[in-house]
Amino acid sequence: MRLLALVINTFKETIRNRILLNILVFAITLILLSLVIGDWSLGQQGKVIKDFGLSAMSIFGLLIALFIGLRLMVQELEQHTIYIIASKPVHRWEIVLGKFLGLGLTLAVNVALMTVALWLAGMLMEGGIDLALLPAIVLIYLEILIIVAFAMFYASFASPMMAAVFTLGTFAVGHLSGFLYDYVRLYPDRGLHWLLRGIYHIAPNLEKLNLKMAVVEGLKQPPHQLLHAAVYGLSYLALILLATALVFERKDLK
Amino acid sequence: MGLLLLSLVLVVAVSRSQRAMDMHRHITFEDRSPQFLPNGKALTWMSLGHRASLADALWIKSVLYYGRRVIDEDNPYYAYQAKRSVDDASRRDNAHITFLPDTVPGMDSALLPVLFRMGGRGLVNDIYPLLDRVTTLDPHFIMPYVFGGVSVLMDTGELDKAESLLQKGRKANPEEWRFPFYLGWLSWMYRGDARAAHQLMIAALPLKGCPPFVADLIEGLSGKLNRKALTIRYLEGMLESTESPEIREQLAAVVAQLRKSE
Repeated sequence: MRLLALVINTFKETIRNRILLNILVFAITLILLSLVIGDWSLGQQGKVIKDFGLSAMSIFGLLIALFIGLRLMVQELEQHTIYIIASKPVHRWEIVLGKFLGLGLTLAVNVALMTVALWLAGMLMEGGIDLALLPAIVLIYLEILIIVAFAMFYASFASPMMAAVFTLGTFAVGHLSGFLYDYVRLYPDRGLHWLLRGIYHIAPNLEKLNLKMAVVEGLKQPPHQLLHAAVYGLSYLALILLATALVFERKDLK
Repeated sequence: MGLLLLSLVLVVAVSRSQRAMDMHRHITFEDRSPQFLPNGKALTWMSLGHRASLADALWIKSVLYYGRRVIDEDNPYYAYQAKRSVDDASRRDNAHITFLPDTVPGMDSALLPVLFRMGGRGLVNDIYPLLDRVTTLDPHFIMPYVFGGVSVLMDTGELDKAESLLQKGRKANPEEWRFPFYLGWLSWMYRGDARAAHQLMIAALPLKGCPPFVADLIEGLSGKLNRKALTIRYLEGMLESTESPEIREQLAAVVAQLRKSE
């Protein structure tokens, strides 16, 4: 019940945020704008709209995660409003989880709205709704949640600027981890392998959650690809939330 | 009142300074060379998970680059600037052009001006490097391969580059019938190698989506049709299998011209 109250409160707080509204309007405009851009693609409008639409969803989701996710923690800590919540009979892990789930709910609404915009653009072009995009959209949402969790994790111990840099770095490394793996395998005799291997195993492999190209082009996927990716993403997410809760639990709020 | 006056002065200042700057602005037709773009593999990593969108963006850039220089010749702005930007030296340097119509055995001279316009020679030297990047970023994007392998080839005669682009597409999409089909077209029309074309057609036939006219072509390549009739049948097949309205229009015009000369 206490957790639910925190979730609802965070949802109400974030859904009213003007930055969120601006980003959402911009994302939906961009998705609809791809209708015009697609016209220059020699008959490839359908593909261009879907690719740009899914990318817009992912990039603007990242921006929302960065701005709102960081603000959520930093504002509470800097304005000392966290004292009010902490003085109530709630566990600190409940605060972390409540805030995360509240923002997760807001992001779900955003992703749903962007999906509707994308389907609308696709319907105008192809005359039907492409349900095959759904697995990619689910994994984009999962990726955004992981980035939110990282933003909250970094914000629980670093300054806002550093937390933003760390979050963006995690996103970049998450998409480059496959490259690190290939590099280590291609050049086994070069130095710093322990470091690259370490990064590969610790950083989230966000490319595992990237089905954008596969769904748009109808590529054959290995069996249970979505299930494996979802299990990987959810487990990773739980780990980060656990780490955030631990750091927050030990944080001196005085 | 003072504020209104100040706003008015500022609006006039903005407008006048912009006009002054426009008067000194030279209209230039400048496409940044893809030589300055990282290669496809590096772009793949740099796209941070958005490789298909980056491929689309580069594809649109390729279409605009090509269209402005080759197709859109009636546009006085682009035609003038594009022609001007290609200096005599680059027109003389045709080392990259590997196809010469008079070297093809059995080539009907009546087909030459219709099939090989070559109007884009030296005008679009950057198109293949661009298409290479597009197809490395998104190896399953079929259209750029077909565009580079057929349309661009007809305009530039860069046979080796067109063939290698189609080979790249075939390697990445072994189940796509269009690659052996178009490679067959190249072998037959540009290399004059009916035997290789025949083998490629046979390879295309069992692949998913291969239309029935390919079987007719195999029969034609066995020597039962004359070159012009076979060309028409081939082009009609291409017309049938191409989604792009622009390429369809281009092919339809060629077929109509060939039929007229029959």
